[in-house]
Amino acid sequence: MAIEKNELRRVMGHFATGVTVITSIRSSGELHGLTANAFTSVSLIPPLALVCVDKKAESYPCFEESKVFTVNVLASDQEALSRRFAVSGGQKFEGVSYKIGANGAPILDGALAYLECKVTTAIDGGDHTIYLGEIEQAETPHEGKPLLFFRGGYREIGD
Amino acid sequence: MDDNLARAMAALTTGIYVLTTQENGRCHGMSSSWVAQVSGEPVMFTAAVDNAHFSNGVIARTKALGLNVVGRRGRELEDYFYSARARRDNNLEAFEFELSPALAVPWLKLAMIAIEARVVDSHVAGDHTIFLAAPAGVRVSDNDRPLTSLDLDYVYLGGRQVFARERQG
Repeated sequence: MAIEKNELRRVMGHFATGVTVITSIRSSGELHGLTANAFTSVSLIPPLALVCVDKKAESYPCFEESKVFTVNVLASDQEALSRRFAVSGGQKFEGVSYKIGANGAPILDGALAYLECKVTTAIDGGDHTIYLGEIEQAETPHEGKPLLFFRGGYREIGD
Repeated sequence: MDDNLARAMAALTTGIYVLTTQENGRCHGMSSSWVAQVSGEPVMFTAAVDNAHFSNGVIARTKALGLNVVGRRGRELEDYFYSARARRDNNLEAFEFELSPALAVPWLKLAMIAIEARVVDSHVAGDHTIFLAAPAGVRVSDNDRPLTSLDLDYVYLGGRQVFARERQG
């Protein structure tokens, strides 16, 4: 029984995830960031996480070049930040409060948690590339509820 | 594991799934949360499975797995597959299930969505293996809200580290 592709994509939208902004930095010093919900922990020993980046994304060349990324876990009041980093073009970091982490990538103010990663492996995954990163540093600087995403929309706990 | 790292990993909200396998008529399920969508064209997802877990070898041999999405109304699935009662071979007899049409992996009746998927690639990554899988069939049963890691009173990381969740608000 063949699956209709659009139906399959709709079904896959039932995966419930948190929302992150994945940041990185090019060798030129240019900062990049994109909204992603395709990420997951992978291993405890050593600590590893993966993130999937669309090959058509504006920031894709940065991830191909850079060997670092930082996962910023967004809070429920950061939907606007998620939307800002979800679109192409513009100065995404303009007016956004952040600091530069130990790996050189931006850490966004207000994020519930961040994980600074060093890319160990890039795996082809269809229209995305899976970047596997070793978590070198991690913090939970803020308490609060996370922003959630499923069935194509932003949610909060209790929705 | 460093406490900061454990708390940061616990802050990653995940869905709750039961990964199922079938080999020579023996059916097995395991609770899983380290699952992510990968690609839209072709549609693919990853599941990270502990290298020491029984299911890892079965998935590697059969190149097939079932991904059962647990909804709020199916929470007893998580309660069972997280418990010590489920840590054995052939552990599905407590629940109604059918074998999927193409790959004959178990689809749990209580799951809100069940997917059968072919493993197209795998990579050992630390203490887990990343299985990259392409759906071959789906069954949508229930318009429930997916259960998430935030709905649980505990946090488990890779099936090993467990601690109580600090409730917010």
